[in-house]
Amino acid sequence: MNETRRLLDDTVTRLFAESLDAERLAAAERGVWFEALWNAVESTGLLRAHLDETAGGAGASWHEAFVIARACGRHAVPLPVVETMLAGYLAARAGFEVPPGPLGVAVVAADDAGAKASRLLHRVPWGRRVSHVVAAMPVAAGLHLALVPAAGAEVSRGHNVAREPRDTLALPANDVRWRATPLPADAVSLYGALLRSAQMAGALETILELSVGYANDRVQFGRPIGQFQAIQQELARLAGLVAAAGTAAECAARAASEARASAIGEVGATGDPAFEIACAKVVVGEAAEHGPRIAHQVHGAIGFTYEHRLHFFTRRLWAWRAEFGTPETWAERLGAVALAAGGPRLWPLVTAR
Amino acid sequence: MSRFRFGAERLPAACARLREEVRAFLDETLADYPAQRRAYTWTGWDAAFTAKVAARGWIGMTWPRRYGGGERSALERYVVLEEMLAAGAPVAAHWIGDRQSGPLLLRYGTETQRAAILPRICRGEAFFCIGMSEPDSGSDLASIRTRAERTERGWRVTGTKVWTTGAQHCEYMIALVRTAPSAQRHAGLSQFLIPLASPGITVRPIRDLAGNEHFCEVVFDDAEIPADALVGSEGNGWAQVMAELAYERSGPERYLSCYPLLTQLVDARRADGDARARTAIGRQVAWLATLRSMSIAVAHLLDAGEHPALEAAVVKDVGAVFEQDLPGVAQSLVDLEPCTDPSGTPFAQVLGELMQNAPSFSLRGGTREILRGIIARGLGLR
Repeated sequence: MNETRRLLDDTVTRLFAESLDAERLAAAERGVWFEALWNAVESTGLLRAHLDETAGGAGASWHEAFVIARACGRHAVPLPVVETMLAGYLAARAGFEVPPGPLGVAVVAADDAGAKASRLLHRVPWGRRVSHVVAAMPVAAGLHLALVPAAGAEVSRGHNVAREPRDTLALPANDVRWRATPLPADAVSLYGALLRSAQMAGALETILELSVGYANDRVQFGRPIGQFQAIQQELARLAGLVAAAGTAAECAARAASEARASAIGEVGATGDPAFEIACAKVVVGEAAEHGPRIAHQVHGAIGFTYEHRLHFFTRRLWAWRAEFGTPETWAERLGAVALAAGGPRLWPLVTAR
Repeated sequence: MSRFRFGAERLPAACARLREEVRAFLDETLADYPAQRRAYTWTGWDAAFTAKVAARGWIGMTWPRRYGGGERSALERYVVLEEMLAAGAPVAAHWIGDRQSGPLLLRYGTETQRAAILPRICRGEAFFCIGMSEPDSGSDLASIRTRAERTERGWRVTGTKVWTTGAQHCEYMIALVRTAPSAQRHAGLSQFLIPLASPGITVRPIRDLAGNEHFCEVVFDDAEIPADALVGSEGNGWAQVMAELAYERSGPERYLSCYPLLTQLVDARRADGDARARTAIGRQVAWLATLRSMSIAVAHLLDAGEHPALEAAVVKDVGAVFEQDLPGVAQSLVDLEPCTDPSGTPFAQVLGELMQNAPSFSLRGGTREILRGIIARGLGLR
């Protein structure tokens, strides 16, 4: 990690580590909104770091966004930080002025005419709190976007298995003004998968830390259970998954940072980050399946209680694994690219990265 | 906090031209090389091929020019290695000398040893094997009993080394032996550069389950070796061996052993539109690309003079799981009887070779259990 990203990592880690304990994470699941922490995140400019300076950003890259998102995952930050970063990026690329406050993202299907969409926005993260929703409508030519004020929308509350809000918003009228964008049709799942992978890599680091700590503390048969080879072998396996997930997620962020705008969205194209993002969602998603099993096994019954904080991370991993495309969905895209390339061209495809 | 120092660095752009040179060389040199033999990857022995690699300056390429090296970066060397492995090139003859024995001599050898031997490795003339395991000492390496005693003219070595890859073809073994009895297990061990033609040494190939003779038993029956055969300091063998292992465990050979099978699989399923095949193959590609990034990250750490023993163990452990999964994945997607006789298709032959070799991937270079023990200690479990 370069020095800028190391400093950024320290800053966000301090901000979250001081503000979030198990009690507050539990409060968030009961619907408490942490206004002061949100304001702190917003005022430090973290939400717009990755936007161009013309869009009110700091001109940093997806690699910096990765550092922020990973820290959100490490601390299970119960705020729409990552979603606001994603929405802000999409809005800025479409030429909208990025509004302040928490932002949501929703994908809507086009109607048969390809012009209008339902006035329902489904499973908007923190829909009840957002000031605006960036609605995305994939069309044949790419992606149409609209910046929709949330005020006046009727909110039906819902949540994912991590009890993060996933609300449905019914807009008062079907008068959304869509705008053509230079973005590929799958931009939401692409950058959503990138940021979710970063969060999951962070949450995986935390379940490893919790598991190692517990294994060193918990005494059975007269010694810490971490001294038993059966436990050591499993924790080493967890460490391998965590290391692979972290590497895959960071490589995706690096690729997105370096991508040429013209290449984005073509999975196999040189300079296109979709290949690395797909790799990340596959590898991180598999780690999110196997990693929590090991962490829970090591923690025993205490880790299955609501009181212990392990579940704030494992439930997020289970929920996030399926958001913005399951590992299987992304694997199929990668497989299609590999098969189209053919055996002799597979290696050049991998090493062009 | 991340536990590991895996970054997301690329190989430098300057490597691109070298990569093209290596590809052109391999296309030309291995044009008629059969798929089945490519499946041997880095256990394929071919001294004539090694001579051609040497002529290109791709053995010992990071070493000082005065020893015949090319003074190129560890990352350039990485490019050459991964291209060779991906092509299934028969690199075994120079593999150990280039990866391990040469760097060991550079670091711990005497000037006489370096000047005499390193240029011969670079020319593809001197081949090496590694004498670590013994019949009663596998994972518990510190329990070895082969011993060397000082004589008037040098050292007398007695004992048996086993699972020594390529010993029947090699001029030298770098052996870890006991030079002093010690209550402390890791003390009293030393490394020797042993000419295998010395009197009193018997090399016997051991047939593996696939019928190949890649590894050997080497018996030292009061073998007399010269005084200057000691490498490094007497009694420092354990530390020297541990330093070697970071190089041994993180390279591209730790996730590319089954690569020829993946290319066969992609070609076999190329024409069809089955989602199950796409998903399963995409999964392998994702892990391949990620393991490559992890391995390159370790290469960057080594290049920067760091000691990434923990990260190297992680690469080997995760890499072996990936390599060992591939034969099963291939069989789940293609209705094919594995075979090794000439009647089979190239795919069936590659599958037949690799499914038989796969058990060794998590044994050689440190068993899975030993690696996971190292990782556990690195995590702070005690």
